[in-house]
Amino acid sequence: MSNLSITELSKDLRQAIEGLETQGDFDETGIVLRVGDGVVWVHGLRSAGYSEVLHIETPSGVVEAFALNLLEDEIGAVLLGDDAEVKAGQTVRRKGSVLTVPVGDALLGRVVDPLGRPMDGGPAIKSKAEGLVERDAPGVMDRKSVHEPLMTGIAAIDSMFPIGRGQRELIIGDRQVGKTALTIDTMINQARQNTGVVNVYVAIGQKLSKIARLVDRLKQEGVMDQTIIVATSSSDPASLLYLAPYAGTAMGEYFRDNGGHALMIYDDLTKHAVAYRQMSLLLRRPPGREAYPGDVFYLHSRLLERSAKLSDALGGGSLTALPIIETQAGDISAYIPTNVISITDGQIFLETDLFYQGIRPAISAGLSVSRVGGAAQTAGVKSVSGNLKLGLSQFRELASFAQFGSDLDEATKHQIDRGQRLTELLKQSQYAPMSIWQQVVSILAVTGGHFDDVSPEHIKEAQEALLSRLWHDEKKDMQELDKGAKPTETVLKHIKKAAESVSKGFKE
Amino acid sequence: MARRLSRRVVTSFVAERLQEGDKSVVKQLAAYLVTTRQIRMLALYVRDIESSLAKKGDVIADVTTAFSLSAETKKHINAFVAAETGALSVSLREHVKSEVLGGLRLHIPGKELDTTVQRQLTTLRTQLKKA
Amino acid sequence: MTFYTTVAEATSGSGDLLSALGINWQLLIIQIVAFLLLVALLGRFVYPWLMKSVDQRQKDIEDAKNASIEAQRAAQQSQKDGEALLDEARREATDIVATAKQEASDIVSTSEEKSRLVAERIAKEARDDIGRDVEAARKQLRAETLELVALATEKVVGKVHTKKPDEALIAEALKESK
Repeated sequence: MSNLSITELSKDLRQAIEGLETQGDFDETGIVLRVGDGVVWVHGLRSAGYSEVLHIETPSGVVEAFALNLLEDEIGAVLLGDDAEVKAGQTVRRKGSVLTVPVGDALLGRVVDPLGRPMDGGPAIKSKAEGLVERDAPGVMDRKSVHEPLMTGIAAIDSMFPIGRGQRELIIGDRQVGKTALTIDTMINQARQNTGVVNVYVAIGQKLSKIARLVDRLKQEGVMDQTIIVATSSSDPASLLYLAPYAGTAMGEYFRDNGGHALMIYDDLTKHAVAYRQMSLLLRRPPGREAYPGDVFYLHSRLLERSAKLSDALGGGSLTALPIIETQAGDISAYIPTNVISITDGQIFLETDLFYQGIRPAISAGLSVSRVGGAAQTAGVKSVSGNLKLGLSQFRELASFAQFGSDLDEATKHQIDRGQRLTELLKQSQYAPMSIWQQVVSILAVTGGHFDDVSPEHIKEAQEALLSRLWHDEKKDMQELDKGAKPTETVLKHIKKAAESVSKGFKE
Repeated sequence: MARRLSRRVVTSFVAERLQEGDKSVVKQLAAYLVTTRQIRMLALYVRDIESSLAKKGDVIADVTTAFSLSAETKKHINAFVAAETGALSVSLREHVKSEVLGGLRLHIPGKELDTTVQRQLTTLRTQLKKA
Repeated sequence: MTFYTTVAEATSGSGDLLSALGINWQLLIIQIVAFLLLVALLGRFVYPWLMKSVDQRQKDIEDAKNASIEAQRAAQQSQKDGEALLDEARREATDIVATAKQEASDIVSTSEEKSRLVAERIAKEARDDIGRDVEAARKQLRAETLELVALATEKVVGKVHTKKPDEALIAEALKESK
């Protein structure tokens, strides 16, 4: 806690006044021609570069903008601050560099805006390094294939659609189906499992109340210390919404390039595309399909290509991306969703129908996919997930026959029963990510038939009882299983015995 | 109706003709602006013409000070501008404004040097305030 | 003695024992033949069935006896099994109770730990809030002070600064900017 020391303040002021530069530089200058809707048109500055930062001198200080339209007679620059202060005739100078943001460990635990300015009321970010907001993605030879798992803690994802470090996995669905909830659980799991992965959550045009609730929850779960939040609200200028994901990626790249691992969450890229469309239309760029500019694909592809697994020569760090896209009425064939689907390495599709049926997370096993697959899955989970996928796919095929009940043959009834139990098993509460051993044991209990006597309504209780029993009776084995290796015969026997014992108490 | 050309092309042409001593180009420019309804852009055209002339060695510099300049100071300023821009001829336009308090603001096409006391105080108020 | 006297008197009268005994040897032969025939018939038709019935009955009795022995044995075994199950159930019940107690104690200590962490977090947040308030106050004071300094400088320079020092200032500025 800092004290309000007048002596220190006085010293600070003296230093500021003494350090005031009395001599100026013979800088290249331009003037503001007109300003409106967050865009300023500047005359002069003929040697300004694309995306270069410009300083507009207003009576209340310098307002920054960055040049996006370099025309023959004028420059169109997008303001990074309030356009109320900017007036025609004001002097504009070049900063001489493109946009950078502070990066480094000083950002951990902080909520900042896309320019790195704190929004959590804390002190200014004192960082030694600056990262380029716009930067090239690593080349082919700088990469390694994705082979390490990124455990989300959500059994349905880790077993059927495993995500690896360095992968881009899209989370797509309608509003209020649990897209952000999935990402929050993933972040919490990184802290719970001590994976060392740094979370960077980029809120693009979200409600500030939602961001505040998120920060609160992350603090409660003890995750905030390894998280950076880049926040923009819907009342911020479109330029900040446009920059937010790039700025967040620059912050994540610091960890990637220094041998660490980071997780990027872009919530959500639909709003990002809308902000870019707004900017482009105001810059008089020609509109294309659905009024989006022609380079809207490039907008997201250059962002997501920066998420990669680096080669051992470059430190072996990784940057994993979980972009979120909001669809309208489940239409994944719309313009922006199809663009991002084609860029990413898989998608997790959340369905509204499943959500309202009580299946949460409402993951559609049929439409979701992970293109990295088993290469990024722990051996333990991999060994049990084959039967899980098979059981669920068989259940999906037969689901419509479930209503016929007694008219079906035994084999069909068994598949339907098994599928119902698996569906119940994969339901998971929010803020309760599961560790590897918990997932392995739970899946094995159902796919191994040990819970066949337990009614589907009681599967979750039986699961809890089983996990509790095993943790107390076979703690050492479970800790070993948590390391990710395939379960041994002894461990399988213990699990079987415990599962059968637990299921007796829940017999139908 | 006359075809609209970019301002840069027009002003470059006008500067060239002015340097050759053809002053009739000024009337032609005026007519062009009226025809294309760009009267409001006159100031910008003038700036661009000055900018083109500066590239060709004729620099027009605007000097703003709190007090009127002595001959020696004007000489210093001319020499400074010539050294910085490589200009063959320098013309000074003086502006006296007491609100700058002291120092000078020197503006040539595309560049500015501002060492006025007013600017320093603004910097103190705005940039250092945010530190 | 009377029988022997009767026999002696009978044989002495005719001199034939069979006649004396009143046995007609023809009839006897016929009876013997009939008897043999009867035995043969009985042996052929009655005795097998009879023996079979008797054997069957004996077998049934044997089976019943074996079954009852088996049932007795099974009953004893069931009793043993029942006792073993009861023992197992008692052991499991003890385990479950012990586990439940352990879990309850763990839950209590986890809750205590959680409460402690929550309390620490609240205290830290309060300290952070105070720190932020102090920092905001410091910034505001700094800004106000700078504004006052600038205002005062403006007033003073406006009144004090003259042409000659201004020219020196301009000359220095041009020199520094080269």
